[in-house]
Amino acid sequence: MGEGPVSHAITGDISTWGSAPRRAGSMTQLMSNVRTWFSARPVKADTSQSDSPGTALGVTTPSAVRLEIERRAAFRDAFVAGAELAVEMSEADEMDPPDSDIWNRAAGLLSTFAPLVPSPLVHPLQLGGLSCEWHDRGLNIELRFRRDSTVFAVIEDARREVPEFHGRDPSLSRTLQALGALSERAHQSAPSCRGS
Amino acid sequence: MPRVAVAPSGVSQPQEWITDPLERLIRRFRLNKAKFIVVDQITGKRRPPAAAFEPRLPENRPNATRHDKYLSVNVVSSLTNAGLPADWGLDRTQFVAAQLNVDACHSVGFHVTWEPVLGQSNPAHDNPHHGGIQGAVELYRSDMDSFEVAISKLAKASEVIP
Repeated sequence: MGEGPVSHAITGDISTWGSAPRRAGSMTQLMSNVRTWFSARPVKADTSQSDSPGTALGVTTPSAVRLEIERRAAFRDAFVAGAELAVEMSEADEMDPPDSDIWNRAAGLLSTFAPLVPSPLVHPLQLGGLSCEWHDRGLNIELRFRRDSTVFAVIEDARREVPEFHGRDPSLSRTLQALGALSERAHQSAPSCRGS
Repeated sequence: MPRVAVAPSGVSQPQEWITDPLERLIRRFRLNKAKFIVVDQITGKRRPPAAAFEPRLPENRPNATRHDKYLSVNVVSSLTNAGLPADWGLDRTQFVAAQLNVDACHSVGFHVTWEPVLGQSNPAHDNPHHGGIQGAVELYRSDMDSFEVAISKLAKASEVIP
């Protein structure tokens, strides 16, 4: 997995990450849950990003705090935009409304990564599901969350550092490695051809 | 004035298979308010998400008026034969269009047919250039993992048209 910040964030059984999913009976509740998942949380010391002497003692730098807040907000906005599109398409009779169980599960699983990686593109899927995908810094990472806790992952790396994978990844074990690589590359200063 | 059928190249009848692997198809898809378009990091192309190749399913919507038997596309040679651009009929305030070849559909086991839509109560809804990517609905219902792989490949083979 490596020594990057994502690996430090990964502990325990993935099913216990975050709070227990809250069943949302409406879009309003779903949006509220999404905002809660990606609200600011206590920041752990980041000794890999030292720009002040105090970091080694566990003090988080102002720039790290600011970056975390920005990334959580970006994640929240990405989920909200995806949910709004889902509602729009549902009202146009093109798909089911978002399944709050599926969306809550996805938000809960990914909230851990919100401070560490760029925000994903969130797009609704048929039968209430959603996809979260990153196309950045040489990596294509796609996660499709569907009913019955199914997660299908697509992982491709132009640099060939992360093994290619197309298949079910319910525990996100394959995805963690890819997101770890994305996090490490995002900390570098190289420009990306992320999208438009 | 009602629209008339304009057959794609190499096709003469509705529901006939389009076999030219290089025939281009236009698939439209929605973007969220951020209007973010994926740049595939392997191919470098601007392309749709795989979700753009999901059929609209009525399983949980018994009263659905919009659901798919196949994936709707426009057939470029039919448009060209009628002197129309590839993005004909596209509402750019809501949709983006991507093109892919018939060969990409064949590579995942789907075939493509010409499916002109004519004689609608509102002639503006006629589409003589309409085609269908056949097999996606059946695959979704029979083998979900293969379906996921298929839509990934279709998305990767597509490119957003300007």
